[in-house]
Amino acid sequence: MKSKRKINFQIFYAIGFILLLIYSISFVTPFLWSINASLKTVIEFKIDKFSIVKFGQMQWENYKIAMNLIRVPVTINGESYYIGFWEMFFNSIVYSLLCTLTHVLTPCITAYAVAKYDYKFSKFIYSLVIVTLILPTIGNLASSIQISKLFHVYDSFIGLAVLKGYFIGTNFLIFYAAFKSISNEYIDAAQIDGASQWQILTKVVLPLVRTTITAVALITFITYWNDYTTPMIYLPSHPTIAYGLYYFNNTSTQEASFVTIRLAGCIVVSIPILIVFVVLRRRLMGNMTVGGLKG
Amino acid sequence: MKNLKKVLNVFFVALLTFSLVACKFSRETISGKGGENNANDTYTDEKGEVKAKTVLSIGNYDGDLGHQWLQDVADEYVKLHPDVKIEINNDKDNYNDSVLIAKNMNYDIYFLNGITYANYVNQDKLLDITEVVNSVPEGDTETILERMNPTLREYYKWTKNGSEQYYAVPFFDAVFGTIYDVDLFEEEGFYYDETGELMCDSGSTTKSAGPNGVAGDYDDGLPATYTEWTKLLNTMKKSSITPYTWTGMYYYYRVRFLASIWADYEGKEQMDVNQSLNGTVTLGDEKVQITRRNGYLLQNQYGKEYALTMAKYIIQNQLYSSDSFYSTNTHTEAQQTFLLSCVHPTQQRIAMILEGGWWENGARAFFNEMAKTYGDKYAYGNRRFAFMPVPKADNGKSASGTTLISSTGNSVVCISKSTAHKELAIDFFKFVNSVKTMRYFTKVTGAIRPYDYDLTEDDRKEMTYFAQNMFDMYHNENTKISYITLFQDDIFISEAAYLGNSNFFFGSNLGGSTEQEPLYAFSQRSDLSVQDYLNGMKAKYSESEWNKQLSKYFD
Amino acid sequence: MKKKKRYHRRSEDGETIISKFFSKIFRFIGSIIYSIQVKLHKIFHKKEKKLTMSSVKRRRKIFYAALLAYPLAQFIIFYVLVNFNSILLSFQTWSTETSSFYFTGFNNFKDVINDLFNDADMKVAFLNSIKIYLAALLIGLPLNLIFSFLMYKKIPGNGAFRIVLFLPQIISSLVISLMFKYIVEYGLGNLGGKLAFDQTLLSNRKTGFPTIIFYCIWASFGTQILIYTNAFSKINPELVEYGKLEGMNMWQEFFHISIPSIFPTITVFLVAGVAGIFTNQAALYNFYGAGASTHMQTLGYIFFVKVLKNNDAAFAQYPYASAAGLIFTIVAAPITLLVKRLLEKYGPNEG
Repeated sequence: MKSKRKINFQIFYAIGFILLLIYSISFVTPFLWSINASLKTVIEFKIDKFSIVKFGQMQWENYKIAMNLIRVPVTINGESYYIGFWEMFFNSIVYSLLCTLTHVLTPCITAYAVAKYDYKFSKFIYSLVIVTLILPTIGNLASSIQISKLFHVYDSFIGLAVLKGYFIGTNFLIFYAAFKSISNEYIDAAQIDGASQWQILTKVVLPLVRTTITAVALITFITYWNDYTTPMIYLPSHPTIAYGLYYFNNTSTQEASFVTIRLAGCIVVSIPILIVFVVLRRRLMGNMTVGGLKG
Repeated sequence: MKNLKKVLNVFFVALLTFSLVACKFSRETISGKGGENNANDTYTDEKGEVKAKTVLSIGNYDGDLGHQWLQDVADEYVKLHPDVKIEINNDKDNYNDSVLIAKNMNYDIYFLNGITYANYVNQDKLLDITEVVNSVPEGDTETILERMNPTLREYYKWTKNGSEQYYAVPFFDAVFGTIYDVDLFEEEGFYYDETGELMCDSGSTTKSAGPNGVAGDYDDGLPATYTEWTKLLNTMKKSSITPYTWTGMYYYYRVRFLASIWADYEGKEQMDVNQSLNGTVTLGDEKVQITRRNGYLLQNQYGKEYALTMAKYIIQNQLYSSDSFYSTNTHTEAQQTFLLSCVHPTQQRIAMILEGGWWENGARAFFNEMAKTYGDKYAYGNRRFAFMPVPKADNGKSASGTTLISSTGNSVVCISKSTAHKELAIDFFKFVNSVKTMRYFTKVTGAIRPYDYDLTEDDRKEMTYFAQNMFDMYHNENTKISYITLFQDDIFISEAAYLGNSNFFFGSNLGGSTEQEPLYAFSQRSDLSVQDYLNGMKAKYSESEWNKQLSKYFD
Repeated sequence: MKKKKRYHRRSEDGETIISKFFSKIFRFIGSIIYSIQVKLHKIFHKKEKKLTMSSVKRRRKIFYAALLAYPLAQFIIFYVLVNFNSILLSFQTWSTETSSFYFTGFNNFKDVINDLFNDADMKVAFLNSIKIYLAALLIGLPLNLIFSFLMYKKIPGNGAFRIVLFLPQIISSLVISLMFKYIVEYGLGNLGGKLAFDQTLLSNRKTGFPTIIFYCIWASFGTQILIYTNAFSKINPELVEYGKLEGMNMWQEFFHISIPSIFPTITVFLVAGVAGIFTNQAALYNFYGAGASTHMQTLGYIFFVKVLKNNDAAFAQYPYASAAGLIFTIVAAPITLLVKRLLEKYGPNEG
C-alpha cells in the first residue's frame, strides 16, 4: 500500500513538474529573446532574429531612444504638449496608488460591515454582490463615460479613484471570506473591554486580515499599473506609462517602428513592476480565498 | 495596525513628494520651433515701433509626409511678412473628424488626411473659400481651381442654394501599386528590349515601349502584357530572386494592389462607377447602364477576374517572400525586408514591393541605418526605385494609357470658420497653394499634389529617382487617376458594412465563411480556382442579396 | 436640515432635468454624510459616559451606516445609474447636425439583430466565442487547478514556479503578445520547420484560431493560481489526514478531497466567466489590430472594433454599443443562472 502511494505520488509530481517546467521555459524564453533582440541594431535583427548579441556590441542606445520616443501628445487648454516618459511614469504611480486605495478599502469596509454586523441589510448587500456578479453588464462603457463626465470624475485622478472605488466584485468576496473566518470572540472580548466600534475595526479586525489586504492590494496595484484602456478613456490629459507603451507601439514615428527599439520600450516599461513583484512576492501569498455564491 | 498606518504614511508622503516633483516635469510643446524671424513675439515696423506679431496657428496632420516642408514654407512666408508669427501644431491621433469638430477647429488653417468632407461642411466648420480658389496666387498664371485635378474639382464642389461653393482643396495624392528595384532590374537585365525579349536573354540595351506603348517615358522596358509579366516572374525565380513582398499585417494593402490591376484594365471611367453607381460599363460585349438598383452587376467587370488571375498566378507559383502573411510583418517591416534584401547574407533578393507612393519618405530612418552599416551607397536617395504599371491583359481589351488608383483623395487643406485672422489665413492659404510652394512640397517630400504644375531641373536634382519617376508618371498625358475612397454616392457611407471597399472590392462567400482578400484565400486553399472565388463574390453581391440590403435606397 | 433653495442656471439643452435630479441626489448624499459626521463626532466625544446595552446597539447601527454610506452611494451612481443610462442610450441616436442624442425607439436593436443574424461572419464569430469559452473551461481551468495543487503540495522549485506563473499578470499583455507573435512566426517557423511554404501556426487558416486559443490559456495564469492555492491550503487538515489513512493517492486526493473542498471558489470564477462569451476579444486586437481575418474573430472583438474603428465618430457608436450590450446581457443572464444552478445541483458536495 505504502509503496503504491509513493509511486503514484512520484508520477503525479513528475508529470506536474514537467508541465510546469515546459510552461516556465515557454514563458521565460520569449522574454530572454526580447532582451537579446532589444540590444541589437535593427539591421542585425533583420538579418538574424535569433543570434546572440555579443557583449561589446550591445546597443544600449536603443533604450535611450525608446525612452525618448515613449511620449504622448495631449492638448490642454488649446496647447499641445508631449507628455514624456518620466511624467507618464509618475502618472502611473499616482493612478495605480489611488485606484488601489479605493478599490481595496471600499470592498474591505463593505465586506467587514456585511460579515460582522448581523443586520438584514447585510444579507441584502451580500445578495446584491452575488446578483451583480451573475448578471453580466456588457457594453455600458459608453454610458459610463457620459455619467463620469456629468459627475466631473472624468480626466481626474481622484475622480477615477472614486469611479474605481466600487465594492462589488471578487475583492469583496475575498475580504468577506477573510472576515468570516475571524472568530467573533475577539470582537466580543474587545467590546466587553469597552472598545468603540472604530477601535474594534482598526485595532482588532484589520490587523487580523493584514496579510489579505496586502496581497489584494498588491494584485490590484499590478492590474492598474498594466491597465492602459481605462487611462486611455478616462484620463485623456494624464496618460500613464501603460498607455504610453500602447501609443508607442502604434505610433508611426519611423524609429519607433524598428522592432529592436519597440522591444526596448516594452522591456523598460516592464522592469519597475517586475522589481516590485520580485521584492514583494512573499506578501502576495497572503490569506486570499473566495467563498461560494450562496446567498 | 501600526503597519497599516506606516503604509498609509509612506503612501501620502510619496504622493506629496511626487506631486512636488510633478511640477518640475518639463513638457515639450508640439509647436514648430520656428526659424530666426519667427522666434520673437514682437517685430519693429517701418516707423521703428515695436508691435506684437499676429499669430497664425496651423494644425498639421503629422503622418508619413512629416512637417519639415511646412515649417520651411512657414519660415519663407514669415520672411516676407515680418509682422506674422506662425505656429504649427503637429499631431496625428487628434486630427480626426470628431475631435476636430468637437474642438470647433480652433486653429486657423488645417492640413488634414482621411477626413469626411461632408461632416465639416454640414456642420458649418469651414470657411467658404470659393473666391479664394477662383483667384490667382501671386506669381501664378492660373487660378487654384483651374489647376486642380478635375475629379477632385467635382468632388470638393458643394452645391448650396443653387450656387457652387468650395470649403477645402485637396492636399496631397499618393498612388498605390507595385514598386520595383531599378538597380536590380538593370543589373539582371529584367527589362524587355524592343523585340519583346528580356535583355538578360538577348543582350540588347534598347528598352521596349512598355505597357503604355509610348517609348521614352516612365514605363519603358517593363512587361507590357500578361505573357511578358509571367515570363519575367519566372526568369526572376530561376535567378533565385523573390519577385514580390508585401505586408502581412494589413490585408488592405493587398486589396489595393488588386484594385490597381482592376482599375488599369477597366480604365478610369469604368472604375469610377464603383464609387458613383452611376455610369456605363462594358460587361462582356455589352454596354450596361449601372444604377443603385443593379450595382451588383459590377462584380462582372472583367478587370476583377484579371486581378484574380494575377493573384492566383503569384500564389500558385510561390512568387512572393515567405513572410508575406506574417502578422509581425507590418508595412514598415516589409519595407525593411525589401530594402535589406540586396545585402542580406541568407535571404533571396526581392524585386518588388506592394506599397503606396509615400513609402520611400516613410522609410528614411531605415535608409540611414543601412548607410551607417553598409556605406553611403545605400543612403536615402542613392538607390533607385520606380513604379511598375500594370501589364495589359492578353485579350487586348485593357484600357489604354495608365490608370492609377489613389486612396488619398480625402486629404485636404482648409481654413477654419472660427479663424480670427481671416485675411491672413487666406493669404497664407494662397501662398501654400501657389505653384512655387507646390514644387517645394514635391521636392522635399517626394509626394505629389493633385494640381497642374511642373518641376525645374534644379528641383529634380534634389529629388530621389523614385519621386521623379512618380511625378513623371502622374503628370503624363496618358495617365489617369481613379480615387477609390471618394464615395460619390451616399449609399456607401450609410451602408459601410456591406459596401465598404474592403468588402465590396473583393469580398467573397466561400462555403460558409467570407474572405476579404484573394491572395490570402488562394494561399490557404490550394484547390481554390479563380472561378470559385469569382462565384463567391457574385454570391455575396447577388441580385437578391443586393435587393435585401439596399432596396430602401432605390427610388 | 435647512435647505436653501438654489437655482442652478444651466443651458437649455435638455440636460436640465437630469442635472437637477443629480444635484438633488448629491445634496441628499451630502446631508447623509454630514449627519454621519455629526454623529461620529458625538460618539468619539462621549467616551466618559457609561455604556448601556442599548447605547452599544445604537452605536453599532450608526457605525454600520457610516461604513456603508460611501460604498452604497458609489454603487448607486456608478452602477445603477450607469446601467440605467445605458438602457436609455440604447434607444437613442446621435445626430451630427445638432450634436445631441435623440430617441429613436428600437432602431438600434434592429440594427444589432440585423447584424447578428444576417452576417455570415457573425456565425463564425459566435462559434469562436463558444470555443474559446469552452477551452478556458475544459483546459484552462484544470491546468490552473493542477498547477495550484502542485504549489500547495510544495513541489520542488515551487518558489520559482510561483513567480513564473504570476508573470502573465505582471508583464503587460502588449509585451507578451508581441513576443509570442515573433516566437511563433520566426522562431517556430525557422527552428521547427514550416507547415508549408508561407504558413505559420498563426497565418494558417486551420491552426490560426487554435493558436490564439493556446495563447489565451498560456497567458491567463496569475491571480487564479494564487486564490486556488490559498483555498487548497485552507482545507481542513483532518480531512487530508483521513484521505491518507484511507490510502488515497495524489490523484484521488485531488479529485475526492481537494476539488470538492474548494468547489465554491471555483463556482465563483465559472459563473463570473459566462459573460466572457460575449466580451472576450481573445487578444485579437493585440495581434492584428482592427484587421483580424474573419475566420478568427470573436463576438467581443467584432463589437470592440466596431466602436473603436469609428473612433472619429465615437459618440455615434454609443447607442449601438449599448443596445448590443443590453441584448447580450439579456442572453447571458439566463445562461449564467443556468450554469449556477447546474453547478449547485451537480457539482461535488462541499467537503
